[in-house]
Amino acid sequence: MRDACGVVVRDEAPATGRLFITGEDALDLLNRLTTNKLEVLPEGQGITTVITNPSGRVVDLLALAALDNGMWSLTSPGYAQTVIDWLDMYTFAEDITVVDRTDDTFHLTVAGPSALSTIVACTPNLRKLPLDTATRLEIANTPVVLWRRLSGGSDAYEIIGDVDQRETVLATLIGAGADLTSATAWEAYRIVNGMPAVDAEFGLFNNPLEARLLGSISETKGCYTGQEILARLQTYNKVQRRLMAVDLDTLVAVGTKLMSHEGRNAGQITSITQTPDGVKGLALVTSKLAIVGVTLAVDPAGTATLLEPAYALATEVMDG
Amino acid sequence: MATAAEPLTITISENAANHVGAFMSSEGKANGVLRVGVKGGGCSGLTYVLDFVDDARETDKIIIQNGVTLAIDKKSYIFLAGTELDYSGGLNGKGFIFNNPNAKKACGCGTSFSV
Repeated sequence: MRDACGVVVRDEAPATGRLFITGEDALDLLNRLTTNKLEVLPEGQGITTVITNPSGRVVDLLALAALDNGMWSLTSPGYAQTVIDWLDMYTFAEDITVVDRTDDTFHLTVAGPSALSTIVACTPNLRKLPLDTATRLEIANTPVVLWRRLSGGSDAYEIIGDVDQRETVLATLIGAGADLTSATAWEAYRIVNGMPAVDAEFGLFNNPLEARLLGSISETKGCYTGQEILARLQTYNKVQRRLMAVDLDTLVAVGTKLMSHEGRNAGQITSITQTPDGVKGLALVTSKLAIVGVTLAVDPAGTATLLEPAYALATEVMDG
Repeated sequence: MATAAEPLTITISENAANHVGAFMSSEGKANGVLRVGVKGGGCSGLTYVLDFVDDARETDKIIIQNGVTLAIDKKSYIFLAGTELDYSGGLNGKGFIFNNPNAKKACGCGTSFSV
């Protein structure tokens, strides 16, 4: 996937949730309940936003794309019902309908340097699809949603279509040069790209600032659930931990503690993978020690060198 | 002998009712209804909503007190039961105030709450 093009099946358990959201008040409700500015989302536009609870903790990271006179939404794997329940809890008089399309659609992700040429080979009419946009087209005479976004932390194409057509589309992509990529390889890709994941780098145990989801947070939109707490944490520099990429000298378990050279707790490993370039991981590190180049001790043995996660670097742009 | 507990309801103070009446008259809705509710959003998750409407909905809970007709949708009522709607006037006043016993936390500006 790093060198050419991989296609990953995303609809096997735990599947990414695929929701279709419609209604006159849908965008406004999402704007009130999530971190990014969603006052307007033109047809074809994609965006990521974080659902936060009143304590500023992460319920889930949502990807939205306005298409088909509604919004397609991707949840974290296994989080479709959580998101549906959350939106339902906060729906009073609003005109909003959320349909769970997880079971009747397929979801494939095409990623890697030659992803575009692979997609173009399958859909000759496509010339260019800007990042964070989605469109409707056909692959192998099958209507699909094609959505370009940072998936797995890197430029990629999401394909969503009717579940009955999954094998046809998958075979067409493989025939065009994509390698079928395993879930394990996709997880390694995510970690190397520094893309935080639910229940590992973010969740109800922390806030989106620790997970460095700043690209999905607007500082200028005004109130949303959890906003006051997040604004205070930022203003007073009180974010306790920061997501960092780590190079390790040994493969250790997720949850392994990191220690400062003075023997103080410095954080913990949240994801880890063995790659041809060595052991790579992600870690939530105490903010004071979360500095590129710092080496921390791995409990009970080994070292971890801190690096910037690529996804955070690519997306940490505050709106003005 | 035990007496039945007073059912939780929503009340409006005389001061608030007077202001509601004045606002309704100025908007030409002297015979209207004050819709009281909550909606998702605001820093603490739930935001109070006040609106003057011509009529209540069939499914609304209706409360008439101090000359004002309040209409509350059923879902909002769950979060508002026991609330007193008051009014704080003057230079430092906050306008309409919800004294909501269900609110465990409120945001700094007081417009949103969580239960």
